[in-house]
Amino acid sequence: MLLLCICSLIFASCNSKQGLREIKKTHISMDTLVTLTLVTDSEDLAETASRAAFKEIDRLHILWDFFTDSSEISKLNMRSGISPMKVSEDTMNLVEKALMISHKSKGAFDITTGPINELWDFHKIIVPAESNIKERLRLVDYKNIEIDKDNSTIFLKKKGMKIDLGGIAKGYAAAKLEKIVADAGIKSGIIAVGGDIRAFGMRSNNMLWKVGIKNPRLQDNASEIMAAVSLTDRSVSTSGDYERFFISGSKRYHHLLDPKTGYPADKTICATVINDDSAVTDALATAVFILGPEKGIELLNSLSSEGIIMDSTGKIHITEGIKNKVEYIYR
Amino acid sequence: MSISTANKTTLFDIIVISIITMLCIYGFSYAEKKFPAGSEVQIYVNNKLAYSFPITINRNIYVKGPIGDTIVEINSGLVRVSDSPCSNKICIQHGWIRRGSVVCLPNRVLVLIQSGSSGIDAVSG
Repeated sequence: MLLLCICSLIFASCNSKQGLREIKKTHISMDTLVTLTLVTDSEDLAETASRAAFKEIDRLHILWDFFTDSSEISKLNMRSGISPMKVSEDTMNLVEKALMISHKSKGAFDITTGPINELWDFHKIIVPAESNIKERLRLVDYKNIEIDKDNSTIFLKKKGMKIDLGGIAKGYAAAKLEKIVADAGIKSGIIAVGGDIRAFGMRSNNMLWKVGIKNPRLQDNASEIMAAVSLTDRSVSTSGDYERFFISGSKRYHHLLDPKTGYPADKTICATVINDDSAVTDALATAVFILGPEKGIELLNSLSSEGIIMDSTGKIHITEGIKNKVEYIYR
Repeated sequence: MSISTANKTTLFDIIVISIITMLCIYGFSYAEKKFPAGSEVQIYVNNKLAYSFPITINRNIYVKGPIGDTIVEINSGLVRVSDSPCSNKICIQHGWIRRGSVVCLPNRVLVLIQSGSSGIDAVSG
């Protein structure tokens, strides 16, 4: 009897902080699934926090929707080559972060690929004419974005330029949602805006959060998860050639376009990035995917980030800092 | 005299307690793996929970969305969207899933498998 009591006490102390549990809330926004896993003992608090978070992500979606004329980003695009436009604080912050990654990656990540992105339709399975791609490539250059922080304005200097924030907005949103649920009183949780993940605090059982990395070539009996990392107060983003793609002939055409060529980058199958800032991980994952493993790892090291890259042959490349921290589930 | 001898913790006692503790830990983790918390298929329409079913019972669910009926099929612990009124059919192409989610954005339908036993808290990719 005494032994049973001891065992029970050990379990009670190991397994959970008192009364806390993980409550999941889901929502569709930014054209993806948003999941909040919140550690709390109060269903009401989880409901209040998640409502505020979902309201905020819907607001950001309206602000940055590339396909809606009334969004702030579309209005900015319509003013390209004409005049600077006053933008919201969130748009200014996001564009600034995007330009930092563009600069560090020497243009491998570039939000001015809007005119090229418009040419590719992955549902209709049509490869754009080379002449159209070349014509629009002249509009792609992040150096033609002019920021005036004092007046909160952004100017796209060339007529026809269009910025598309799809490669960084979800990561930025994940960070914003963390702040909102924290302000509401949630100290621990994990936020997933599509594949952009932000983990903060500890699980209800005092363990680290475990983030799986999707298996990029999922076949019938293969695990859906390729590997996993355990972490907290960090963000994880992955870019892969399996998200939006079609196969024509024997070639895979996917949505991660090289800003220098206008065609899908072909050095990588998937790139996962870990950093403190989820906007940075989102943009860096794209940059690393475009650059390929060698230059990608150099870039990650220069930005104190970690990463796991699968090159086009299926070989895994990994930064030194997490070499012994990745749990491989399927290779 | 005999009472004070009985109260002494011997090396044998410590070994027995340790073994039983380890057996308990192993037993709990084995039970958690072997008999996972019941996975549930949740179907949301327009961000509101519309249906919830156990994944263990095969069935077809006709889900009314803004542009028509999305058909969700549960079969042998797997779930898929088998028919949809959307134009791009991405939700159907997603195929069978045993964890995670399938979304039909045009019809605002989200099919989500909630399971508590995978050990993975979120998936990047």
